[in-house]
Amino acid sequence: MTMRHLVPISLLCLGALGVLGCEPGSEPIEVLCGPFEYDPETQTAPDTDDFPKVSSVLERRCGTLDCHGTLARPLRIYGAGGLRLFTIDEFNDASLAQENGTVSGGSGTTSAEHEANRRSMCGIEPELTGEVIRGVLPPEELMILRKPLLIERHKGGAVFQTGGPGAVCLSCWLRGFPDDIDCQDVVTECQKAIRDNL
Amino acid sequence: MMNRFRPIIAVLGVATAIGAVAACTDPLKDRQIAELGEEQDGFPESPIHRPGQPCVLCHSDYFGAEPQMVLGGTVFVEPEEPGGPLLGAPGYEIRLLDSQGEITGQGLITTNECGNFWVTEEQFQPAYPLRVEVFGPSLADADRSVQISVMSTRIGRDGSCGGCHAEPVSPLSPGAILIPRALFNADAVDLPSETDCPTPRFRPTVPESLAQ
Repeated sequence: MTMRHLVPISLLCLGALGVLGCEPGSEPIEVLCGPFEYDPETQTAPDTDDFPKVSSVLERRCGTLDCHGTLARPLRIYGAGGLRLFTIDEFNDASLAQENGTVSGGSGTTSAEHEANRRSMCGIEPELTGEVIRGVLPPEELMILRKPLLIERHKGGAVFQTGGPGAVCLSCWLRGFPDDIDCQDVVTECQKAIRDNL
Repeated sequence: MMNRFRPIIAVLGVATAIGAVAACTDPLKDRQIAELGEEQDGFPESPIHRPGQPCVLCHSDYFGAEPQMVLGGTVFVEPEEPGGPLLGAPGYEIRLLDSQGEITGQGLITTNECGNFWVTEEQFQPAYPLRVEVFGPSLADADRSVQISVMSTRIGRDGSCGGCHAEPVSPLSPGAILIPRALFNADAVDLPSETDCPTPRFRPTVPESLAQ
């Protein structure tokens, strides 16, 4: 087989993959934000009930309308002061959104928005997140911390400092609020991360 | 032998050159700029043009409009009635605090006769995020400048106030920057008439690409 044959075959394969990957009927992948072989006896999975504390930090530090509170960027963050989780009707009719309080600066962050933020946070690197939760990897291996700590290039710059309240808040939640010294007062750390943002 | 490859090399060379030129443009920004439309009749490019629109889209390295700004926007007075005309708020002061503790704006950034204000790169090179406050005449004493409002969130990276502050209020926007009526000293501020300034226009709340 010559190069002349290989090129069209490769293109066909790529095209087929693209079509399959976008197939509308394909099942959505559940975002677990937990280990795939989770052992509740020995591992503490991140608690969804505690997530609103973490969500507040994400909303405040990451989710402004010009950063991750936008439809156009990955790690979409919803919140009262930023992007709202709207219905199609609210999207098409601003007055309906105003009536429902689903506007930027409107009513408080809803539980559906907290859940959407949790999925955003966990879904950005679900497998690696699972490894962090299992204790195989440190939280700083995750993009959710690498970017704001500027371990990796981040257009939004340094949002957290290593060992600072924002990083502690996120990493302790990911590790299920273990009893180590860093995470003893994680609620305070999360609150500090919100307050210290100028 | 080499002669056989010359046309291919030439085509590859041209394609590379086209690719290099194309790589210098940002289709998203181009589209956002196009969506802002033309200047309004009677209001050519000037410090009062395009109130409400995202200034830094054009006043930047990318588009090259002068002056190049790090931050710019328009402050309006809350209409007397809901849905009433939005009039620019002249003489209000914008103060900024960046994440390294640099403060600027006091006596430096003041809204003009149509409510527009801006900060140039020479004036301030902020370390984001930014806290923004608006100062203006006190209700009790017009000669005293007091804090009128503080932006409840921070500016993360976009110096165009109009990039987020667009009308109407929606799931994607908190609305225009407004001086609340309750804090507006009408005796101290000389409001423009509706014809003195261009009609405020905003970036599309729903991007065209999503509305389709």
